[in-house]
Amino acid sequence: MQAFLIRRLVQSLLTLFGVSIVVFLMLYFTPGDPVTIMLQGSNATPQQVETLRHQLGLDQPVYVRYVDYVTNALQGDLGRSYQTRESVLSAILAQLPSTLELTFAALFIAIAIGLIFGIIAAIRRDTWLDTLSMNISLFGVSIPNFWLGMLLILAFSLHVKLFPAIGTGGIRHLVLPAVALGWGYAAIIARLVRHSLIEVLHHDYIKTARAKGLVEHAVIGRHALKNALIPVVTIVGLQFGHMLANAVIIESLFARQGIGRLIVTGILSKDFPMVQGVVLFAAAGYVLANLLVDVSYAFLDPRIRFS
Amino acid sequence: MKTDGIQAVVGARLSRRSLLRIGGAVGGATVLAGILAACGGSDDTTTAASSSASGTSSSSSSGAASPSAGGASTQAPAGEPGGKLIYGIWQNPDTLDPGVSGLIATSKIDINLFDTLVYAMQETDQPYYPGLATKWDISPDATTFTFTLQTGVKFHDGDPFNAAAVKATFGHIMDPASKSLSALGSLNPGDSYGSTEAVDESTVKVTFKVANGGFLNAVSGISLAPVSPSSLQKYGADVGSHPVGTGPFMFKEWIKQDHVTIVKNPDYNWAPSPFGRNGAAYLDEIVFQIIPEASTRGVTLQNGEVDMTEELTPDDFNRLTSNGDFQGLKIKTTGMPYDIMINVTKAPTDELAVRQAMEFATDKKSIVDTLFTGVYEPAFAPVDPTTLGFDKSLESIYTFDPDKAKQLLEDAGWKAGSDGMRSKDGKALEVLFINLSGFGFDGISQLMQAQFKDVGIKMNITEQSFPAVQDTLHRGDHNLAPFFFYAVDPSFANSIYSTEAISTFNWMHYSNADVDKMINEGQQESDPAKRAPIYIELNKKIMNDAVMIPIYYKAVVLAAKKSVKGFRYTVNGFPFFYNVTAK
Repeated sequence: MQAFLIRRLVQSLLTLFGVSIVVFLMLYFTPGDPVTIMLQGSNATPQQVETLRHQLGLDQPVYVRYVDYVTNALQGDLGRSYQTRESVLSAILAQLPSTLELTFAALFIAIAIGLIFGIIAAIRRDTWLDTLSMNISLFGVSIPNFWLGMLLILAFSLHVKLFPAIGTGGIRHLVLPAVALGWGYAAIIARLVRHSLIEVLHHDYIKTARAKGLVEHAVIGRHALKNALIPVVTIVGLQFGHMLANAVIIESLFARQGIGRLIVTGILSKDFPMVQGVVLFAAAGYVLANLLVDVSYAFLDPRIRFS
Repeated sequence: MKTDGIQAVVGARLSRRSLLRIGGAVGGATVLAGILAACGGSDDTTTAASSSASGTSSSSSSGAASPSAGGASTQAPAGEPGGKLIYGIWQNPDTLDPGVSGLIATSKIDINLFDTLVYAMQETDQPYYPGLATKWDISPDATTFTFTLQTGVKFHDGDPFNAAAVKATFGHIMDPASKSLSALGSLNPGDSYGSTEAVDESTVKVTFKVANGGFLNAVSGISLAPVSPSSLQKYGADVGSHPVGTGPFMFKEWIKQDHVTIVKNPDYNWAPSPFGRNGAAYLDEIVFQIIPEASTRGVTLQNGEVDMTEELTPDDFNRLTSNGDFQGLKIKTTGMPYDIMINVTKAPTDELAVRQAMEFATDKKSIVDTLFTGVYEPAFAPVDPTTLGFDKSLESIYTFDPDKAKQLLEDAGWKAGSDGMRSKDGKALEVLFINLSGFGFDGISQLMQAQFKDVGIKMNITEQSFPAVQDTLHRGDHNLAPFFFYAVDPSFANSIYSTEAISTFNWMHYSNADVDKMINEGQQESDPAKRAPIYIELNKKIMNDAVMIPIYYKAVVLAAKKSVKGFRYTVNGFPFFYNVTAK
């Protein structure tokens, strides 16, 4: 187990290192010069442009810039935003809690709704309940989350004034964006749970459990579900990364604080340090989530060995 | 090069529909995106009246100077004073330091935190009014500007306002470490800034290496507003998160990506005369709530989460302001309208007849009616009507006349084939429109495509996104490109039409010696009455050469609860909250 963890940690670090190279090069090769963008409208002379380029270190060869960046990053310095001049690390740390809050709330909603619908559909297979659950879930997968978000705002902020449309802080501000972000994932989880559960319910040990007279909820809860959940856990881990990405849109729609807002602004202004910083953080979140998924297998299925 | 007072542009007005615009864009944008910023003044508003006031610009005007100090306050509040106002603003500020920012969002907040040396406002009868400067004197060659300053004014942190503060502010802008955007363009156009000297406590002299006729306009803009010298010392690089000015409101807090709160300055007693009163502002507090998505802004106004907002979709604007619950405010602004730049170096738009035919073939009214349901006005001149250099005569050079367009093409040898599409010497009449997706021209380009087809011009549209498109447009791969520009002083022409601007925004790739000369002349002159004819002539030339197609005049469009009253606006359309009441 320990060896496995160490190996996975090293792999994770290598992944992050790879991400940093890819992001750095992607920004480098994208057309558009950050200095020209920064100075636009200021009637800058060529000398002013050169001075700024030098100050930002952009006149250095790309590998020098990369090495500088990584050296500083390892010391916790992600640079200063070209656009706002604030420290990238403190900008991200200031916005991160809000993004995590949204992502976890959305994940909770996805899992809760997904499990309920999936289980109902599986145990009432081929009934109207199954059809209804699966159609709701089809709807959830098909509907873009920003559109669902708009519908939720219209329904629950405007017509029935239950929740505020905008802002950060407190559960009231969290409900609508979390549902908008989580619903689509709930749909995926529901279908997966249904499929997986139906498959498990055909196994001999379920028949045995029933044969020995266990009540149905014990059969489902204690025997079937535990085994049916393994693929679900994998998906949930991956979804966490997707949610971080989709939070960009939801945060803007609901005017919430969050790192998504930083990256949108950053990309448009070619704010290298900001984009790199946010992507690194998001990648770290993704990698960490996957690591946790792997580890959780051990608890869900003792047959999986970490050797 | 010498240009001046452009106040900038940077940022972006993305907004209206797509979610991706969301952000606040950035920089550059200008273009399209634009923003700009800075505000400031300009002569415009009142070019007509400006002649009477021309004394202001060249030799000293004093006068109304001391803002009705003390008791003379007259104007009654429009509503009940006190309380809080929440303004749903679309863009996140980059910094609140007026000397550094390039964004409109920052200007909108800062004009309430800072005073400018000179005020230029809409709906006044003079182009300039004394602000922190009670009078000014401009040397005949427009290189030296001497300002006499108000005494007794204090910054929010208690620092006295004086000549040293002006000098420190300009020094901060010029300091490369500040990485100034709009303000640097206003203070040092084309590297023309010389120095600032504190002659005595209340006299400051700004000298330029070459004529800078637009400088008075520039100091009426927020980007050159005096900042507390102590705050510059104390906060250093973080001064953008701790703005300290002399204005009627004081900074309270900025929660990034969420809101900026400002509160009443109880000591304020130096209001410029156009406000008609003196003393503290009426509102206790203003919250600028940042809401990037247009449809969300509409909902928050409607459900009462905000008291006023901006940049609504035309549908929301019409719906909310027509049912009587909310008021719609369309405020004039300055610069270039939404327009299409025509590349004069690439065939077939290198032919004057083709360009002119496109001018006649574009049905702006139908574009505005279709896409904006009448919120904006169709444009026929190359500058917004409140900009110095606008003249009614410019609007009659081209009208919508498809027959004339066909005739021009026919005469130039572009003959229609059996399908109605034209060609000459076996070459089809085909133009390429390179659109920036999501920047407000998606619908416009498609409607123009249909309108051009009616006269036999085939228009292809490709999409690119910002900032990559800049390289494409600099290369000149396009025939047509979308544009707009916020600027308060007509000298912005230098950044758009001059030969040297081909490396920046002259995506027309237009180089004309007469135009360069007129731009230069405008620069040498500081009297609005004498500058106007120069820029009118310049704009005529632009239209006659058909290097751009105006589409619609920009406007700052706001919607507010009916109880919100008492607005005054900067020349480029940003609201001053000093006289505003919300109850």
